[in-house]
Amino acid sequence: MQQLILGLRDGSLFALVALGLVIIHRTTGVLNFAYGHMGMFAAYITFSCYAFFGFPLLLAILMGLLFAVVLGMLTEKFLLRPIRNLSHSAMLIITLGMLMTLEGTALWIWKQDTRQLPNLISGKPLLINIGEIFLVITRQDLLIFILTAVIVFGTFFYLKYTKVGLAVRASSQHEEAAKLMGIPVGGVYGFAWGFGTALSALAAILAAPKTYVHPNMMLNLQIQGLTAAVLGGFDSLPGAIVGGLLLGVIEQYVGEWISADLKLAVALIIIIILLLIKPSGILGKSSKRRV
Amino acid sequence: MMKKYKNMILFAVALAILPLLFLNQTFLISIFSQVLIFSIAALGLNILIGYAGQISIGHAAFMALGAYLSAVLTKNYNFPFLITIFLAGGFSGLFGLILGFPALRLTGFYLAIATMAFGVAVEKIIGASDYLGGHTGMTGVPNPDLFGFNVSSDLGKYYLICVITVILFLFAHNLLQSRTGRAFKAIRESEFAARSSGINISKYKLIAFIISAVYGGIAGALYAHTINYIAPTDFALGLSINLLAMIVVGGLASLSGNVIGTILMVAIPFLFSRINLPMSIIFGVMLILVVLFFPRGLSYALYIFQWKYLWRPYVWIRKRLRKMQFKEDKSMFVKLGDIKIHFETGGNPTGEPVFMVHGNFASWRWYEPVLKRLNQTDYRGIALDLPGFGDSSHPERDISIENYAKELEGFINTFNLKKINLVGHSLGGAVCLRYALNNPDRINKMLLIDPAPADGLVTPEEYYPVLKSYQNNRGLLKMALSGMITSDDPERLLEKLTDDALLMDQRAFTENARALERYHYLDELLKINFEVLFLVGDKDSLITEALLKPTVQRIKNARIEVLKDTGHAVNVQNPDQFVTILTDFLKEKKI
Amino acid sequence: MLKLTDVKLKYGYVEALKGITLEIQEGTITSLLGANGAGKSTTLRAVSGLNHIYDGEISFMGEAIHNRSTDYIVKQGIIHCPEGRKLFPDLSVYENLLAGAYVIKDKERVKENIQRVYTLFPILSDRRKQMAGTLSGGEQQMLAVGRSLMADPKLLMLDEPSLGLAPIIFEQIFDTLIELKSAGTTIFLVEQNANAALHISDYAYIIEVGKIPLEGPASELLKNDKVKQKYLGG
Repeated sequence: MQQLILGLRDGSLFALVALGLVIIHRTTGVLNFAYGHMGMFAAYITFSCYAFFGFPLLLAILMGLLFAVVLGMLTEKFLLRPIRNLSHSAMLIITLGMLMTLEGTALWIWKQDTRQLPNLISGKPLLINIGEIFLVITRQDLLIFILTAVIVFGTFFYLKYTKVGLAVRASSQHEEAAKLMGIPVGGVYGFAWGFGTALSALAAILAAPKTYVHPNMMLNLQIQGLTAAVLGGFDSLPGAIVGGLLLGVIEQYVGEWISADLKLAVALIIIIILLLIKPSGILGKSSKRRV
Repeated sequence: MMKKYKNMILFAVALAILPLLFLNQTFLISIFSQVLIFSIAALGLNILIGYAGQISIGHAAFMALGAYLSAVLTKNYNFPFLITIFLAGGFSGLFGLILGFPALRLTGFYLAIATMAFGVAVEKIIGASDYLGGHTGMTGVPNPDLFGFNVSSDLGKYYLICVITVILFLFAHNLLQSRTGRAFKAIRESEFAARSSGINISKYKLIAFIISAVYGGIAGALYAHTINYIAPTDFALGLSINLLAMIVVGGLASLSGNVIGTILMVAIPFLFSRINLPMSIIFGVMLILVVLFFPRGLSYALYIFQWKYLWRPYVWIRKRLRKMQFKEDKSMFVKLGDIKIHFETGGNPTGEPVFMVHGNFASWRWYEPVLKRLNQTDYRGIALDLPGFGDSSHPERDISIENYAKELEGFINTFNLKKINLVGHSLGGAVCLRYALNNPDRINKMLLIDPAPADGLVTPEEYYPVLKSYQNNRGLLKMALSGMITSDDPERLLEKLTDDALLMDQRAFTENARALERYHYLDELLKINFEVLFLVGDKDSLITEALLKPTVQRIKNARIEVLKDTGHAVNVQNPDQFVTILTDFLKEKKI
Repeated sequence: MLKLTDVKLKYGYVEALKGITLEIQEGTITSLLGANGAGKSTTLRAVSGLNHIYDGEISFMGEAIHNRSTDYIVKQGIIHCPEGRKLFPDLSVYENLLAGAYVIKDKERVKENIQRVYTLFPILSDRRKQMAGTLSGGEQQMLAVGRSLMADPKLLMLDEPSLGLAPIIFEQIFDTLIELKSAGTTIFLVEQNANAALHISDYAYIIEVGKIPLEGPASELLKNDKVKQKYLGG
């Protein structure tokens, strides 16, 4: 049972990452390879605000999230929108360029040895026992669960029941038709990128206490998030969530029973197998039909 | 045959000479070696991405496979170096085949994810293996051992790698020109179209994967023996992305771009080694800038740059020289109001007059060979530069066939002749037609060489930018005109014709083509009673017999003759034949 | 109301519109007729901002709107019902209509408009929760037209609304257009079915290969020989 909890906790982070990746991909059609690094950079910003400028933790986190939103929107508007019509591979390559630039810049500003520095960027590191079965859930983990749940449900609700949500869904289904409805599609894309990137930042910040803040902190998480998204059928939002949780649990059991080192390998193998057999994932539909 | 490989040979020679310039800086030579090694890997990736249109961000894995196999075989089992290189290539190629199969079903970002997962997996698995040295890597990889020689110096290694690089580039070059290469390009452009033309997509995709993997494996093996130390982190995701960056920045689907990209990516870190700036920033920014602003890579951008900015001053200088050469007082001119029309004559001064009108991008000189050969005949040839061409002045009026015809009329009138013969070539043919329709009683006989037909000639919109570029690109213009000249060119006629073409009114470069679209004389052709001979070369791709049929049919006394093995301008290509046809035609009595 | 002056548009190197001049008078139904590929849809796309023009002017009620963003143009009251319907396949009928009303801020008005569309096309009301991608061809076309009515257009542009529809249905649509006209909506109709279009139009333009060789009151064009030959089936 403990394993399940731990798995779900890891899975929540995967789900967050997957959610952001899928939102960005569904609306703008780009697979953001720099996704993890964008979150990483935001985590660095949070760290700097907290450790160097002495901001209160919550404010520092807010700054990090804000940074992520702005970074996402600027990337979409100035780097990706100009070449939308070129090809999806070109956009993908730009995200690779972003990946390199962000990694290099983080190295440059904060140097390699930041590895050791700050733990516990966030988190209330108290341990609580809950219920009759003795489960150990740290407050941090509880926070992760709650936040993820709130965000997931909030996102679904927002997309389904608000006007902006409708605009987002419409834009991702048919860009031109959405334009003809008077929907400012460019703004929708910027919004999707801003929100998606903020999710990456949140995941990074939540994971930071365990992974520490360093330039490659999000690499593993991004791969796992990617796996989760593929598991869920890349274009499905609920799929991303389910995929994430599922992956988290699977990895946890693999780690328990086989070897902890192979956790990442498991994710990679799952990706490869899935892509071989059923690229549409467990929950996805096979291909798009146009109207 | 040598010409085809001219670039390759230059490249090879340059490579051979290069290290001799830096003999005392052996560390630089080792850098050159690395450039070559990575260019091999990049070439493999380029074949896959640039030519076959697939995507892969796991290429470093192939280098890793080749490197480790070769290292293990030579270090632990004393295999000869050359054998291990082959085996490394083959081993990687095998994995390329394995990776290729699933790749057949995946496209776009799914393929990207799969290849990335493959790359990371290989790195992790190697890192987890103690036999291969684990995370710390394998040291003591032996130097290449070539037929007993132990190649341990940087210089020696460099030349060895050089030879292998040139061989691999040659092979790639040939492959890409062959059927396989064409299949790659077809698949890249449109899988759907390729499949419908019967190309076996799966086969060629697999071939692309295998070849790219083989190149990666060989590069990896060379790397191992050059640096003598390999670790999993050498072949991480970062390298895969760097390789991708190399070919994107250099220019996809371009061998020269390959080299440029590799040089940049290896050289820049060393230029910047003083500053503590991580290279990923520079590479990342370069990658982004190139995709945004030079999507076809730097090699293409350089090509465009040379095209646009180096040719221009050259052309300007040549035009000046040409104009200075022309001695106005020693040449013949007719003045029509403000317009000066230059002309040359040839043949028998008392002979029957034959006026010769040139075509687009041309001048009187297109009849120079003809004029020379008229000396033994009864005819006097008069070839003019139409206004806006050659050494005639450039009037302000709109460019149209009608205006050219009017000016031709004015020109001819100054000779005070009752009847004339008329020869027109290409655009000049259209001008002659208009003149003939305006003055049908003036003409004895008319001969048209590959003329624009009476219902106009449309130039596809895509060509207009090319036409405009001729204004400043002498090389391109010369190439376009060279199709009209025979292979032996005793008087360097082509050079002179190109220079003449550049003298054209700037507007005319595109306006002439527009003028050719805009007229329609078919209905008026009934006015023509005199004999008209149409000559068409069977190899003329612009004007064909079919195109001229409607025109020929509507003229009472017209006939068309198709010339064998002749292109667009028999007057230049085969002046002897033309003069014979001309004189025979003019001599003919009507039956 | 809408004026195009010497509008030129290129797709890459291909000139699709070579200098289009036309005018739509307020309160009329004006048709643009022509064969496939003549440039009819392209003209509408230029007006609604989906494609940029490289020469010429487009003005709406005196204001230049060419090369402005589509959402700006929609806010001015120009609604373009595109060819090929272009519905949102994974949104329900209701949500598609809602999307059509994106620029309307007043919730009551939105509700009213939806009711109107349901009254007009009762079958849409029956299927209001169904995903648009699963509707039949005719139903989709009705939804497309209904959706374009949601934003209370001042100028309604329809691209081949009759395509693929059973005669009864497109008669229904055409009747609706006439009703809309009497209620004050200006209509710009692009059609291949020249006969039907001319019968409900006040004025019409013929477009051929990117140019307008002929225009005039619809009644006259119906009698014009060339028009009869080319577009009215002899």
